[in-house]
Amino acid sequence: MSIFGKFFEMLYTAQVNLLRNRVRTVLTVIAIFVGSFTISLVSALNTGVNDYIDRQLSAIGGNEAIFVTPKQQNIQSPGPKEYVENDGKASTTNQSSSIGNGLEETDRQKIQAIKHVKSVHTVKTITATYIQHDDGKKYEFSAIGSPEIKLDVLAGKMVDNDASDYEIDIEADYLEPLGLIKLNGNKDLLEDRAHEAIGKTVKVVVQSAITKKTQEFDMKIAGILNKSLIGGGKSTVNSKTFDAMQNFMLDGIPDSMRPKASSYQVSLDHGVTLDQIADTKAQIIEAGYQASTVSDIIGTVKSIIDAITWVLLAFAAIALLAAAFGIINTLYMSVLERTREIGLMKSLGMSSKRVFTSFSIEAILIGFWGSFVAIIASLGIGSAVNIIAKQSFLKDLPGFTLMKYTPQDIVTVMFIIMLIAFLSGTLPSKKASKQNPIDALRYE
Amino acid sequence: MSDTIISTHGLRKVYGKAESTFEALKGIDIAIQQGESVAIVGKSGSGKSTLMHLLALLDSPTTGEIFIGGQNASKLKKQELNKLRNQTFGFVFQQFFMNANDSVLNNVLLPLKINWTKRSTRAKAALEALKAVQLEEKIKNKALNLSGGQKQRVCIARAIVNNPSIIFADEPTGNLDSETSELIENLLFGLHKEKNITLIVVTHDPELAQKCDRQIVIKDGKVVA
Ligand SMILES: Nc1ncnc2c1ncn2[C@@H]1O[C@H](COP(=O)(O)OP(=O)(O)OP(=O)(O)O)[C@@H](O)[C@H]1O
Ligand SMILES: [Mg+2]
Repeated sequence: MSIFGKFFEMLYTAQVNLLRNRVRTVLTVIAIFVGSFTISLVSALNTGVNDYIDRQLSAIGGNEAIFVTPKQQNIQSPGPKEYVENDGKASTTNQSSSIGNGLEETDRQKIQAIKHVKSVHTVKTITATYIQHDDGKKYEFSAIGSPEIKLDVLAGKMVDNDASDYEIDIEADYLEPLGLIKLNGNKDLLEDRAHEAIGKTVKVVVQSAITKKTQEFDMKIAGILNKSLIGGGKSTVNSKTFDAMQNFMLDGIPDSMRPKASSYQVSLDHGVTLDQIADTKAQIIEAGYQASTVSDIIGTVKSIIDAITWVLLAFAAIALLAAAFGIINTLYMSVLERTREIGLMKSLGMSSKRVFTSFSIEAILIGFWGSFVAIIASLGIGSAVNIIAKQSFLKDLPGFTLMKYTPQDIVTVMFIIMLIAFLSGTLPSKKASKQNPIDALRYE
Repeated sequence: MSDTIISTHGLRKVYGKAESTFEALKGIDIAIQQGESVAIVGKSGSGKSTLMHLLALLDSPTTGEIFIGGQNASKLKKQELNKLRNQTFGFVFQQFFMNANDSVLNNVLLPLKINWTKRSTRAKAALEALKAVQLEEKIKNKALNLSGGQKQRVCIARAIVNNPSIIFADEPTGNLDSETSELIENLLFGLHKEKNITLIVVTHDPELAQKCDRQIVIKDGKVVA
């Protein structure tokens, strides 16, 4: 017989043996189920949360980054505000287009000089007069130029800085107000329909600081950005667009008077310690800026999530420990019950190794069924939780899938459970395999 | 002109531990030739079954040695031992041990399942063995539901299914009427003569004992004749 033939024969025999005592098998499988179910849920929650946090992290440059803004500038965008046409009076500064004020080349040098700072990336912001799609409503609008960091796109792709066209990655919040997609009041459809906006054109109007003339820029939507916890997530245009808009707005203003950036993303030396990060941050603040690190923003959230994960995992571990004793008990009884049968097999020439293997396979099968059913149940519960979460407490965090199941996670959980089952089975399996045939046959 | 296939030297078997020990075999020296038929006779409790188990390497002696084809059995590798049990020996237990909840067919093909014979070959061989003991109409029955004599015949079928070269039969006709007894005797002696199979039989039936080439008489754990 081929090795596969042998394997399937043993698998089949093990399954038949397990079904011979159905009640006992089912009870043990339930015990395994409880443990695996908990572990699977916890692991999905952990993956979901960490995946989201990681994407947030990469959007601001990972762990070794500090986000620097001039004092008292709000980096969080409140969503689009409808643009109000001024009624013929002279335009005031806040109604005209502007470029984010604040950080000059000297600031960059000052920050660059601080210990552990590797490089200072400019985050350039531009505030336009309004944005409009076709003849729809006009909205206030500002955008970040030529990103140097990865963006968390919900649909489409990141703008191409090398492209010669005007491209934009637009905030998801703008899609419906601008009339790019229809949600009919149901925000849940956003994720499904966002892609419909890709390739459409929006019109951004900017005004020159000196001449007060306005110009329209038609740009193609390359991607839609997820709303984000932190600085990122703001509409972003590619270099070509940004430069063109900036040149128009600042036409006539001498170079020395042009503001350079609204915020910096400071990269730190690779491998800096948390203490060093804190130290660098303190120095930046001392130098007169606002600075926030990744741990300021995400750290607390992450540590709470981690704590919850560990507590849940501890529960799961206890459940699994109980289940392991269940397996030991089940197989032990089975060995006792089948002592004569084992004796007969051995007297007919079955090797101890094969006796051990068949009981081990039974143990692993119990683990397999328990974890298999648990994962199916967990997938069901998980997707229900995701739907509820999206409609309630995660409403404002698109792209945040609370429970995330990856094939690796599923395989890992099943593997661990089957390993535990196997280890629990070794004790009774060993007992079964060690018997001398005649003694086993005489067992009453 | 015959080779010794099984021989023993100073075979002792002591059951139990500490105070409650019982010496079932008290030094057995016998030699059985290839192709011989031997009857082991003696009173109940004299140690016949104990001796058979030792000869078929199903149990180990307290002291003494067993030689199979000249080789010391205690020096055999596990794999060789299992191969002997599975392919060289056919054993009919006095208590006809079976898997009661399994079908007659599955019980008979057990030795073939153990040595990974192909499924189709297994079933064919088992059916043939069952025909030899005239039980082919019972193949689908649960072993549990058979009569005593039928169980005994299933065990004989199981013992011959693998074409063994030595058959050990512990009271193979103990539960059978004279007609069926004769069928079984003819079967065993037929195999013995046609295939030159070595036959070792424990029996209380003087007629069956007489059919064998020779008798070994056991009394209180010793060979007396
Ligand atoms: N496992 C055991 N533990 C203790 N004593 C045993 C054991 N097996 C057998 N004996 C004893 O050893 C002696 C020989 O037993 P055995 O079964 O060999 O007898 P036997 O000759 O086959 O008898 P019968 O003709 O009744 O089958 C008996 O006295 C029996 O009680
Ligand atoms: Mg006996």
